[in-house]
Amino acid sequence: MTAITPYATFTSELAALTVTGVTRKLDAPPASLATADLPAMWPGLPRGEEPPMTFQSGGGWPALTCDLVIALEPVGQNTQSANYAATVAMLDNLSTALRGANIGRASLRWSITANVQVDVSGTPYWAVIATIEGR
Amino acid sequence: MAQTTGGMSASNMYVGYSTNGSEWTDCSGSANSVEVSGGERQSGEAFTFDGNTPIVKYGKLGYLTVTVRGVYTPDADELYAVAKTAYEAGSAFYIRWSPGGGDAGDLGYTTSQGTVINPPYPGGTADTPDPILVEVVLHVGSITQSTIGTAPW
Repeated sequence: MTAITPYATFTSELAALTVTGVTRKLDAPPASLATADLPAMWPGLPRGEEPPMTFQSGGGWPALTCDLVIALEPVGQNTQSANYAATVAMLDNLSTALRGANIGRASLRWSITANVQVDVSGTPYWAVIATIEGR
Repeated sequence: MAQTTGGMSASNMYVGYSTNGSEWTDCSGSANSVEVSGGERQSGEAFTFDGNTPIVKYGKLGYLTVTVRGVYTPDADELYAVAKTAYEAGSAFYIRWSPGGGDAGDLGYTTSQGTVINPPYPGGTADTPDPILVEVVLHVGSITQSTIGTAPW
C-alpha cells in the first residue's frame, strides 16, 4: 500500500499545481499582493480527519482537506464584466488542473466557488476557491 | 449495581487467521471489522386444540457465519491473498479474535475449521477515495471462547 500522504506534501503539491492563467504561485497565504503578481494562487492551512483503518493502530488513511485560493483582481478595479469573465474562466482553468492532478494516494475530490471575496492586507479581491479533499 | 468499568472499544481488537488451526498469523493490521451471525438453535412448534400457545421444542445449532473485512493489498501473506487461496481451493481456514487485544488474560474466540464461502475478490467505486476492503466470509460449526494464557496471541 502506498505511504500516508503528509499534510506538508499535500499542501506543497497543491501550491505547485500548474493552472493556466495563474501568474504567481505562492507556498503560503500572502501578507500582501502586488498587482503584477495577479492572478496569484496559494494554499490555505490544511485540515484532516483520520479514523482507524484497521485494528492494529489508530488512523492510517487520513482525509486531507485544503483550500486552494486564486486571487484575480482587486474589487473595484477593471470592469465588472471583465472581472466576471476572468473569474469564470479561472474556475474552468483550476478545475482542469485538478482533474489532471496526481496528488496523494486516491483521486482528488473538490468543491469550487467564485462566489467569494478574498481579503489580503485589507484589500478585497475577486477570487476562486477550491476546497480540495485528498487521501 | 454500579456502572461497569469493563467496557471496551473494538478498535484494538486482535484478529488472526490460520490454515491449519495451530499456526496463526496476526492480521490485525489488515482487518477492519469482524462480524458473527447465524448459529441459531433450531426450534419447532406445534399447536393443539386446547390452549392458546404452541408447544415449542428445540434442536441443534446451525452453522455460524464469521465475516472479516480487511484492507485489500496484493501482499502474498496478508488476509486477502490467503483467503483467496482458501476460497479457490476449498481448503481449511480458521479465524480467531480477541476484543481486548489478545493479551494474557483477555478472552479470545476461535472458530472451528471452516472454509471461505464467498469470493473475496476486490471491487470498488470511483467516487470514494477510501481504501478497498475485501470481505472474507467463513462458515464454521462452532466458536470457542477461552482465556488467553501467559503468552499473548
